Amino acid sequence: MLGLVYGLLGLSMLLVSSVLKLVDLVRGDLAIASAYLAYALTINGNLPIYLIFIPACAIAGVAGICLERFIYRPLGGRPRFTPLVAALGLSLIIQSILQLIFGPELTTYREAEKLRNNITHIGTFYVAEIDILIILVFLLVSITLYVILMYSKFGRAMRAISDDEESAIACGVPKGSTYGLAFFIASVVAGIAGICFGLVYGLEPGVGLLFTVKAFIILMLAGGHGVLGTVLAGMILGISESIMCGLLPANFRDTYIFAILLVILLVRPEGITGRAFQRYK
Amino acid sequence: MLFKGTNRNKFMGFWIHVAVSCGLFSLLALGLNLILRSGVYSIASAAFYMIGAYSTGIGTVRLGLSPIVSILAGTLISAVFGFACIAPAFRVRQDRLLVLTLGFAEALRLVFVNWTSLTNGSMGISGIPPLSIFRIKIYSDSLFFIFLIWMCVIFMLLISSILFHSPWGLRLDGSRENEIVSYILGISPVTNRYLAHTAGAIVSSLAGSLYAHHIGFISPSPFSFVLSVYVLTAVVLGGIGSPQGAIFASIFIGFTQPVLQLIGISSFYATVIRQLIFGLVLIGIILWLPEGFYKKNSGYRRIGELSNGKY
Repeated sequence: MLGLVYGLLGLSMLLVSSVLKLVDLVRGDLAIASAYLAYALTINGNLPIYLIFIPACAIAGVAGICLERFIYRPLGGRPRFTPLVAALGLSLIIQSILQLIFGPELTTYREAEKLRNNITHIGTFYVAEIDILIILVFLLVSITLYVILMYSKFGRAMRAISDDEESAIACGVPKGSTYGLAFFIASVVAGIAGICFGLVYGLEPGVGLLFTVKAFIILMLAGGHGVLGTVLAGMILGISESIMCGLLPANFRDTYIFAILLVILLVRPEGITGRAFQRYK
Repeated sequence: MLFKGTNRNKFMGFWIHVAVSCGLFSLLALGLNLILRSGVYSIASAAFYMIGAYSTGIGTVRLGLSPIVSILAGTLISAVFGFACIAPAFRVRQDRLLVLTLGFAEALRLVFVNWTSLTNGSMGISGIPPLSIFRIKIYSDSLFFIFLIWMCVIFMLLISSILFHSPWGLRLDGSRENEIVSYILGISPVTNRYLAHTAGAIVSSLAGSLYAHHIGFISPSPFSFVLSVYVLTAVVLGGIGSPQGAIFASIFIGFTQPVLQLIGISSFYATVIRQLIFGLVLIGIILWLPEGFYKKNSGYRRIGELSNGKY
């Protein structure tokens, strides 16, 4: 199921990197931080699970808008390298604050245990409730995002900016509000991904980094185009991770993931959907 | 007398440790400076540092090799990895390359944590013998060890300064500034990036080997993402492309941990607070002082100013 959780963060990263045209290195930390704060706000995760999603989304959304307004927008005209370095600094800050408040140990939601142990059967399959929850959340988020991107005015503006920013602005697409809205929606999705990660795996302050890397792998696998490719890539990554862990020693799970990333970038940097992208956009 | 650790009392030992860690940090920063100069945004310094440390540890303790052979083996291995981990550079944008190096560093650290038969996992390898060159043993708490490390730093500084004006240095600048123009001039930015990244990896690995001899015990925990970002902070703080600035910034960063510990903050909080401080410093520098504190060496910036302030 972790594949789908990475897929959620991949969707978030897709939105951000299609307007910013950069990899956002704080996505994972943002997700983990908002999941932690939601955990603290809901009496250490004792409330029902759907009540935890609401504060996480709110916190992540506000944090995303602040990130865009105070970090990425001032660095807009600067060379490519600077926003990446700023994001690394922000990642250090988030990790250290989380360590100061919550300590370096693994934190788990109380509800997660129950969800993992409750097993329902659908037809002949036995499925844990947590898997059903994550599949439902994933479908809901991806369908909503698809509809927003394809049929709303904001979606059209965002796709225009992602294709050719200068022409889009010349045609009257509002740059500031589109960026802000894209970051808001992306960060809400990141908040949901953080909660799902906390449910499946538990929360650790330093885990956001690998989360970012995996979301990036999904983005690369999808080639950075469209919601459907990202959804597919999330499933492929999840399945291949499980298969590799079955065939080879399971301790090296993250190493396989890195090997997948290296192979994708070497062989097919345009992703599995196959549309070649412009190299230096 | 000079080679045998005469300064065994606690106070001197502490300051020797500080001096050595500043030197190691400067070596790492100089290596990363070279890499950043070619336009590869790499934050895998900690990974090559770890390769050097572990090749010394495994070579001397497990295999019984002499320290020099282990150091050479470490540089060879990290040269291979330094090339391999940015192998897609010829077709991948630079920000994506950064995530690739990040993933490489984390994946490698997890390999060292989990491959317990080779590295003893998170328990680490202990009992690494002191560095010996031609049967002369250099104890890690002797003044000569500091001298050796800072000689390495000065040597690297000389090389970097010579490179600064050499044709290869100019080619590196060109491949960072404008890929298309350097292709037209017959310079391959990709080849230069491979070369620079491999060279930077070798320097980091050397620093790692010296670290292992200094500490005598290695475990995977200090070689995390945070260390790589500290090295990056040192380079950005000193101004990218200015080796002297990188060294000054490294000394500054090397002194923070002991200062925080001296004013009575416990080790865990000192580490976390240091992380917080340098996160803030990194963001502040990028927002308000993107060229770093040390601006004396203006040759580099002149190139930057010509091409519309991009470095």
